[in-house]
Amino acid sequence: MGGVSAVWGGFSSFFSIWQICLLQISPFFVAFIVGIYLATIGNKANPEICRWMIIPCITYGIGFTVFYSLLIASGLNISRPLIHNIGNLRVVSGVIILLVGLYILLVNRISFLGKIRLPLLLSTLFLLIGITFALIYSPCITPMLSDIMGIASQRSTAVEGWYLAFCYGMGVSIALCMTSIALILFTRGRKIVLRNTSLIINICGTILLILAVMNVTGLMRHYKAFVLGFVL
Amino acid sequence: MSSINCFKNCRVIIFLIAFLSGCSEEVGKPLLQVGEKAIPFTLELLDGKQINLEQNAGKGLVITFMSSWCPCSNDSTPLMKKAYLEHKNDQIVFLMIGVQDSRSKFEKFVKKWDVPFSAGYDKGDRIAKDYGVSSPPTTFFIDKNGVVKRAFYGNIAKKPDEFQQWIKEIL
Repeated sequence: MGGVSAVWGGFSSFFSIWQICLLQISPFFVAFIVGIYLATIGNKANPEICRWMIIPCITYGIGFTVFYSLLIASGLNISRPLIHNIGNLRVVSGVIILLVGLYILLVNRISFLGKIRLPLLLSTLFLLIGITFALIYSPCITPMLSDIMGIASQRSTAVEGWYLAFCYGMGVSIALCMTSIALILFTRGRKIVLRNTSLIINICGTILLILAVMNVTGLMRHYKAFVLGFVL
Repeated sequence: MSSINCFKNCRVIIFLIAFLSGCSEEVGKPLLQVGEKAIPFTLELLDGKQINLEQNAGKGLVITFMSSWCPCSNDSTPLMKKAYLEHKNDQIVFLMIGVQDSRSKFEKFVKKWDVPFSAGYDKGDRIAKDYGVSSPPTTFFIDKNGVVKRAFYGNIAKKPDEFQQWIKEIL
């Protein structure tokens, strides 16, 4: 197995039955990207989609992929504190998501926040969301991921396994970002969106707040158990 | 203004990275590795009894970490049951541990599949953390000497022949 096939494995898993497991994060990521787009750049007359969205999506991909692959590569020394502290890290993630959700809800209400709508800020928020989503996500083990985890769990092959997990996570990130950007491009400028922009922003921000509370309180495991169990 | 904000954001990221990269007392704790002794644990079973590694010394042990919401866990369970029924008179113990799940959902899962061997809920995923389990299902094969011979990540129903072979290795 090589890096390219691992990227393809992650990418294709997004568009397969394994999407069920991605329900842990995909609706929240869509809420994040749609909310942040509408709250910050959607009201610009001629938004430069590449500058404002592509670069942040790349930083999201970096954050998600690095931490996702480290959690898979249990044979690496650096992965130990991550796995041992995953409960605490999920609480920290919840706090970060809470702040991001509040930012989406308040950016157009508090003038101070409105002044810091910068590409750098967006990239930072996307990076943080990428890291937090990697921490709160418990991936379903696809056949390819099964092989990768087998390699990554052994100390002697952990680096190779980490590389493959990195490629696999990159595939998942690319698929998630592509889908979200396509959704934005599809809905951009539509009358129904323009009429209900504030409502959509509020819904997206609230969805993130719910995710934050679930992670801080430990209810996320119930979300997984009930929502994914219901779908199954 | 933007440089101040940039500095603040960087500070948060540096703090997070420092925390994640090992500034923790947990660093010294081992994660289970194939070829090493299994990490001792005590688990309360769903029927209220307790199980630990010591009481199964001298027997092979198949430990599988599962979640009710996980498709692979649901796929793997029938094969686990079949293997248990084939080997229930041998010196081998099967144990299912519920992780990343709600207790009630895991109990329903065990009932739904009528799991005939011991099953317990890992509150706080403590055992899973020691065993390096980041996702269900993950299965460990531990021999009579308490040494981990194999670890398998994912749907074991896809590898029925290997599964039988790995059980024979620990008998």
